[in-house]
Amino acid sequence: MAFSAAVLALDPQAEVTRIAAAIRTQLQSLRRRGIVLGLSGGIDSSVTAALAVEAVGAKRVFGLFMPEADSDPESLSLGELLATQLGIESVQQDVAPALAALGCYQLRNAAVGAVIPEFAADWKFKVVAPGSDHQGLSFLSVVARSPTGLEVRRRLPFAVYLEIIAATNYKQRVRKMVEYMHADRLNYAVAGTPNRLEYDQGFFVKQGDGAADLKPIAHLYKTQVYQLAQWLDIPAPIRSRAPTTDTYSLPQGQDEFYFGLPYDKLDLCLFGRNHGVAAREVASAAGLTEEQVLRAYADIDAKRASTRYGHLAPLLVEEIADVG
Amino acid sequence: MKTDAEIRDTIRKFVIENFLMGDGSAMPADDQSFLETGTIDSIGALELVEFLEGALGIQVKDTDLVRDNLDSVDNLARFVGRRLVGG
Repeated sequence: MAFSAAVLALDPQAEVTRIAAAIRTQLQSLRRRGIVLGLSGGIDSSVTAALAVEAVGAKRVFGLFMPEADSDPESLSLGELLATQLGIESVQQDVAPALAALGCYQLRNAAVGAVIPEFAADWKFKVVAPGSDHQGLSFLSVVARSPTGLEVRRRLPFAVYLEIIAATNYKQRVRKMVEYMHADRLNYAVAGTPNRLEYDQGFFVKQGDGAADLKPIAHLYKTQVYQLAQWLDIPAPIRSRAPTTDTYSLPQGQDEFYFGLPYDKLDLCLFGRNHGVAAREVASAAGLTEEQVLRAYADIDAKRASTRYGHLAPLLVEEIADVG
Repeated sequence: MKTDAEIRDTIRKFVIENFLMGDGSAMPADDQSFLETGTIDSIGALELVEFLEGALGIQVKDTDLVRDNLDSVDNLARFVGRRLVGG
């Protein structure tokens, strides 16, 4: 049988039952009484929240909305829509003052100004990867737009790239700090919300959104997350929203920043890579050329290598057998 | 003008000091891929570009960012040599 997107089809009811059972077992093991998670108005956190409710009931799930200065207002409104539908307790914690106090915005703007001297605080910007047609090594560029619509694009030198990423990572790390405050207060565990693409390809901030006690959908391809979303009756505006980083002041898709391909095509490439499927078969199913799939395979390997650090626990000089 | 041997020596020293924490025994052979031997990753490649632009004074364009130019001592020496003679 020809390779097709059907390989990613799952039985939503059976998968929800399996994940809910795993969450209950994990909470027993962690000796925590419920789940805290950040709600971004995106598909992954929404499905994770609904799975948590399936596992332990709405009374044991606590949601956090954590907007900051660059957040799309839709993220908050969709998060609230979900929390209301699920009937879970939730609070809003604006993290912009904490980020400003830490220098997040100032450091980041100064770094952008190092490559675009005319950049000012009233400009908007985003960081983008080369498109899927780029045949070389990966690099990032900053795209900045003035209030009058002037757009400037510059490749990021290594040191500036590090400055921007480091300052921006404050966002995910401050949010995680808030999540753990509530987890400690409630004696709950923190759920992380990466899907398989994000988890496998290291699309997370170490000790930021990468930190969690459990990650209930990390084994699911993004297409499968959407299948569960439909079965779990996640509100339609969340299911139809394009995946966004919601991190920079200009709108930015995840494929533009990191993945290079839309999620449905990359799902097939990742599945193909994981199962030894020939590139030409994946190309036919994904509507790509064989060459694009081969580049995607190489990029999957390169991202796994360069983000291995993000998955690693602290390294010890010798094993300490009595803990863990 | 640097000779090919001097260019290679400069590149090797940079890779050993910067990516291998001074461990010259881990330095790949000149024709071996930095990426495939795990010597550098894609982020390290950006660092390599900064070294080329800073220490060697070479302008690196987006289209130059390919393995044929950057992914071994041999490839780097050829690329740098071409650029130093204005190619």
